[in-house]
Amino acid sequence: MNKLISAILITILLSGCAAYKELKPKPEINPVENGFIQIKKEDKYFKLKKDKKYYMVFPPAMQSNFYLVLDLENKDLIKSYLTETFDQGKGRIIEIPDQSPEPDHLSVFPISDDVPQYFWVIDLVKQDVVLKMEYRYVSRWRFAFERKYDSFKQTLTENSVDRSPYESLGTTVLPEDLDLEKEISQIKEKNNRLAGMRSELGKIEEIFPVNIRNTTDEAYQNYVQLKSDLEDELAFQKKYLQVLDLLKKERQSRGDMEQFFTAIPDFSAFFNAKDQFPTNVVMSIRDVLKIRLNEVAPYYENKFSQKNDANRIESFIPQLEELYPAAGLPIGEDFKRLGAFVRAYNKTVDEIQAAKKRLQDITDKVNKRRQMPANTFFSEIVTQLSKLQYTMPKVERPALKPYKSYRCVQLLSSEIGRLKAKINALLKKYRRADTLIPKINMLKDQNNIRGILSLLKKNKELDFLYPMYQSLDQKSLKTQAQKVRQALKTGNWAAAEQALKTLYNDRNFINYGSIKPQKDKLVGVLQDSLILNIVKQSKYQAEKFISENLNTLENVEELYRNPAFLPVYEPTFFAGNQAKQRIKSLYAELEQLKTLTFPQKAIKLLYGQLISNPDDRGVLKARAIVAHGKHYKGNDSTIKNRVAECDPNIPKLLTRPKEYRRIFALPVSTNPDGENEYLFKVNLKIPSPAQYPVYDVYIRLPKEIAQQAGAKQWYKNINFNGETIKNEGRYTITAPGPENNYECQVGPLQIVKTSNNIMEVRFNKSAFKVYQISVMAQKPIIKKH
Amino acid sequence: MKMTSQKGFVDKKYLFIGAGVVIAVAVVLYFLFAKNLKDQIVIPYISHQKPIMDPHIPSHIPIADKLDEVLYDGLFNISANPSGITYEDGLGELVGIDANNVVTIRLKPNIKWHQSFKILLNKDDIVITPTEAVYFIANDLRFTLKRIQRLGSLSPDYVLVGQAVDNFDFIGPDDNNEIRFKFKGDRIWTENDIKEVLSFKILPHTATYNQLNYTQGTGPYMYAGEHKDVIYFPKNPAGPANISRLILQPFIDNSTFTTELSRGKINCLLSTPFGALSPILRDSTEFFAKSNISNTFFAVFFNTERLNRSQRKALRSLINNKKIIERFYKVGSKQQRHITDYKGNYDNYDDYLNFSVFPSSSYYVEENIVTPLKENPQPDLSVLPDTVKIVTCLNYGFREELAELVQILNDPEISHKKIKALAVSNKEIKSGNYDAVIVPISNYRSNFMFDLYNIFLRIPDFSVQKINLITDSDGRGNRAINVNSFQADKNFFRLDATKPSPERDDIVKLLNYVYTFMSTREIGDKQAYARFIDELDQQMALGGWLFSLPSLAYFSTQFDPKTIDLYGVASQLSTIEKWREKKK
Repeated sequence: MNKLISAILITILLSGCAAYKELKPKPEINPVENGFIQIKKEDKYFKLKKDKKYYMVFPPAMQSNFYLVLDLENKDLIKSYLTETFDQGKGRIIEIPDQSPEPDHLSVFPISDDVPQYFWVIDLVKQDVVLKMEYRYVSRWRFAFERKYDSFKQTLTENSVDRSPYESLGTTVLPEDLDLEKEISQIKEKNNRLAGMRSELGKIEEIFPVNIRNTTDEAYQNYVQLKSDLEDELAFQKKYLQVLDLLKKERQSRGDMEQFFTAIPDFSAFFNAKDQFPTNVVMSIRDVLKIRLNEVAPYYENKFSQKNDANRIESFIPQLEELYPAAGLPIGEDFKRLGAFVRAYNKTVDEIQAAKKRLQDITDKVNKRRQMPANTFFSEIVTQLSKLQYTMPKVERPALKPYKSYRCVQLLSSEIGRLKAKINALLKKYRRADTLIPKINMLKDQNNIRGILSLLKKNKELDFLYPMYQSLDQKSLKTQAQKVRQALKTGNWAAAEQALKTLYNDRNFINYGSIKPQKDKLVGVLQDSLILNIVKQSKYQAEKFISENLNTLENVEELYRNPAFLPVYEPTFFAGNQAKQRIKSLYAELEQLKTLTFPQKAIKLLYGQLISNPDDRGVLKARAIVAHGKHYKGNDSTIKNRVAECDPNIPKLLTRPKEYRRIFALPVSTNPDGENEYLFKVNLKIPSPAQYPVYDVYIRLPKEIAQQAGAKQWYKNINFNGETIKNEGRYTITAPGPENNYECQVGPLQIVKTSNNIMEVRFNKSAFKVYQISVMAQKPIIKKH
Repeated sequence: MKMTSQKGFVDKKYLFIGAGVVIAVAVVLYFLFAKNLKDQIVIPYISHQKPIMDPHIPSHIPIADKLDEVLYDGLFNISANPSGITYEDGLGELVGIDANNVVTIRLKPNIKWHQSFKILLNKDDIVITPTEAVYFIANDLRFTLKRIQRLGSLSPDYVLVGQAVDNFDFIGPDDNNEIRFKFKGDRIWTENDIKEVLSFKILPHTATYNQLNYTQGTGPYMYAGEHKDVIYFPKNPAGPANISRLILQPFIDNSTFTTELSRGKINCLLSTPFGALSPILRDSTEFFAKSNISNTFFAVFFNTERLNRSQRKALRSLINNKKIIERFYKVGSKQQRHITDYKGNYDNYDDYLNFSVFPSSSYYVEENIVTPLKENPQPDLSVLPDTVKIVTCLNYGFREELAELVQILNDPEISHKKIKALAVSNKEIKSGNYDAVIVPISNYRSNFMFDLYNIFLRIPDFSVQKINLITDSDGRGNRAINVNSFQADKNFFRLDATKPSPERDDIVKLLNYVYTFMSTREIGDKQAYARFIDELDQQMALGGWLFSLPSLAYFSTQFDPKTIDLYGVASQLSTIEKWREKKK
């Protein structure tokens, strides 16, 4: 039961949706172009019920550019539209716009021949109504033209111009009688309207079917006639306006020749087409023109006499010379003379300009050249320039003669004179250059750059040569730099310095201002190079000297006076403070080699040798070390200590108790084959918590020195802080012997904590060698027993 | 006058005969009933000056310090042989010293303290019975070191040890009973140096720090006690001594010492009156003598409260020690007291004259560290009071010598009638009632350890030796002298640094000098301050430094002279364990 009810409801619902009812006229819709046809179904009108929806199918047009025109009664009781696709109101509906000019009863829908069918849809019936409607398939041009044909004819009629003044001009109507302004204004207004009509007709013509032209279609024939009438009127109005315009320009330019001249093209155009105008009109215009042409020659003569330059004369004379014959008017003598003058004058001006251009070309050839010229370069230039001089224009022309008093003619003459003078001057210079170039080229072959530059600088007026030789500046720098470098290469420091100085002072350049930064930079580089070479060579020399003399044992003092420790060359010229500082630094570096490196290396080497084999010329090595040490200004305590070790006059520091320190006992006399006095000193600077420290000094002697101590005092003298120490009183000096490993104890020695405490031991020995002695100090202990 | 003389002569003749008979009888009786001294060493002492047994503090009683070698051992002991002093192993054995100055000592095992024996003294009979053995251990050494450290400069051992071992301590012992001392790295320590430093005497750790007497030791003789002031020291059964006992025999004073020796009541006299050779001991078959360096000197200390500086200078000039010593030894008279020294010099009295607080025999003068002014300027007697009262007390040793000096000083030829010398009671001296006082300085050491406390800081009391040393600590182990150490009633010179006086600055300076001299471990400082003190004394004129006594000992030929070695500054009893009786 329920299923039955549902089925019924669905059916009702679906039947409610299918609200559009198709109206099928009989006879069927015929798409042939024709007049209006009534819509009926078997002679009956369709009845439309309120709130029902309908549609009607229309076939497409048989050609393009057609309208479907529907004419309805009671159009306001329904709401309808035309669409290409329709499916019971479903989907998207695209309504074709209604282009009806009378929408209250007409619907005009553009249709084409490429759509299967059109649907006229009534989607609203406001009340029950009988559909009284006619339809028509009509081409669009026809629909448009038919609807405006009457209007077009009226427009043409209303805007056509009265032709009688035109046709009577010069006879019954004189130009002076015409109200030109008004006439022109009215014609233009009409002309504009007719032009609008022409445009509308043109649009209609655009949609003519292709086969219409050879038909006798009435509407088309009407169109052709209307169009022809329109074109005729427009052509008349154009010519009439042309004449009126000429007359107006002439009338407006009276008293103003220049304004009149602006109308010459119009007059020329008129007379060139004079066949298109009636004779009365042509004669009338000529008369007007003739009057004005008589004013031309006096006007121009006056104007030219006031011309204050030598430029071309710009005038309407050439156009006027053409207008005269075109207008059928004879040319007067004064005008002919004037025309000849203008042509001659302008020709002369043109020739001057040509000469100037030629001159410019020649000078450009010279001035724009950037390469050094060959010997014949200026010969050719001179030839060209001479030719130009020879062909210079002249003012002595017949046509100019009547006007020779004119300022512009005189100026023209002056212009020619200046040009000549310029050419002459250039010729003179170029001839000098022609003479100079071979000399320069000769110097060039000799690579004498400075000679060339000097020659150029002497001929300053030939400045056009500078750009050609501009590269010489670079070349000069390069040559001078090469000279410096060559001198450096051969170690000729003086020559290098002189060349550098010459370069520094050299102002002999084509473009000194431009080259100066580069030259300054080069001078800096070369100065650096010179200094660097001096520095390098000086250091090499010093280092070589050092390495060769590390082993020198005699005359060591003399080594330090050797010039090897001076710069190989002492420059006096400095382009900058930096170079001066570098030489100053070199002195410091050489001084460092002398007072640091040399003594340091020598001392290290000799000391190493001395330690490894003291018996091999030990005394000489020790003395050499001391000599080196006098010149050592370093802070290396090792070096200083080694020097001190080898200098018997320098007390050897004992800074730690109980530690034996090896020291050298060295002869202070020089008797290689006999007895010598030996010396060693010890400085007791041993930190002690005591306020008044006391130390015993233990001297461990070589057996060679101490072995006879039992028979003879081994020492000559022992001093402590200037006081002789003897084995008596509070002091004890023990005898060295085999039982105590040849050790001698001296003490107790009270030291002063705040000062040096020097113990000096001298002994004699028949030898000339280095003795190694060990020395130790330690405090005695307090004994109870 | 003559008659009287004749009559007197007759009376005296009978008197002499009678006396001779009595003496003869007495001698016979003596030899018949005198005790036999066989296997004993009998040394006299002043009965009311009992020796104080303390190995670390010097004593003014002559025999006291000598007993240190009898009762105690150090890790190493000082001994002597004919060539000089030697170091012998005591309680330790030196293993060695390494590169880091670490000294390794092996402590000897099985060394017994004297308390390991029960000693019964019954009158003069001694019975020794072994009891539970108490052995020497490392703790005894540690206790001893701490005691020395606490004593500070009062003990010479403090300086001795302190110069080598900062912390007065050691590491160990290890399984080998070895201990290690970290010696200072400022010198090369020889074996002898190490043994010297470690030669201080060792007490048992069971002792306390401040005992009056330390009777327990490990030395060759043991303290047994005393009976009727006779003090007995039997041989340590575990020790090496050859003679069975050492006896200190009491006497009233030293005047009869030579007689007692000659009578055989003693057999060892370590110092003769006046240090002179004794005519009654000339028989070399009965006695032999041995000299060593002086250890006693006499000085006149000026009372700075009663005499101003110029007066003291005048008094110093007035006291001519050369004249006095010549009188003292009766030079040029038949009663001349002859002397000799260990160098073999004879009657060289001038060598004993002193010109400084440092005796001429001392290291400081001998080695010219101190150069005393020997020239004696003419005294300005005008500045002196009418009479300068110089006193002394005869009851506490050196009675003979002091009495002689009193007599000499009263001689107008010596005193220019300006001096009144007299013997007074000890109480009188304590009260400071004197212008100057004659004081014997005994047991002085002539080496580095010369004791200035015993001179300047000794409380003015002949009966005791008490040093008034007051120091302050800075809390970091450093000590500084306190001026209260110099108070007028606390020293013979009546020096007072606590009260304002014109001389206060010098007094304070002197006190600082003395303290630095005594406490420094630096030999250089010791020398320097010795010089400063001498120079200051030359300005302040604190005393007249008369002369030293020769040190001469007599021994009975009961002993073999070859076994008794005295040398230089070594203690006279340092080789007592080697003494032997002469084989007959």
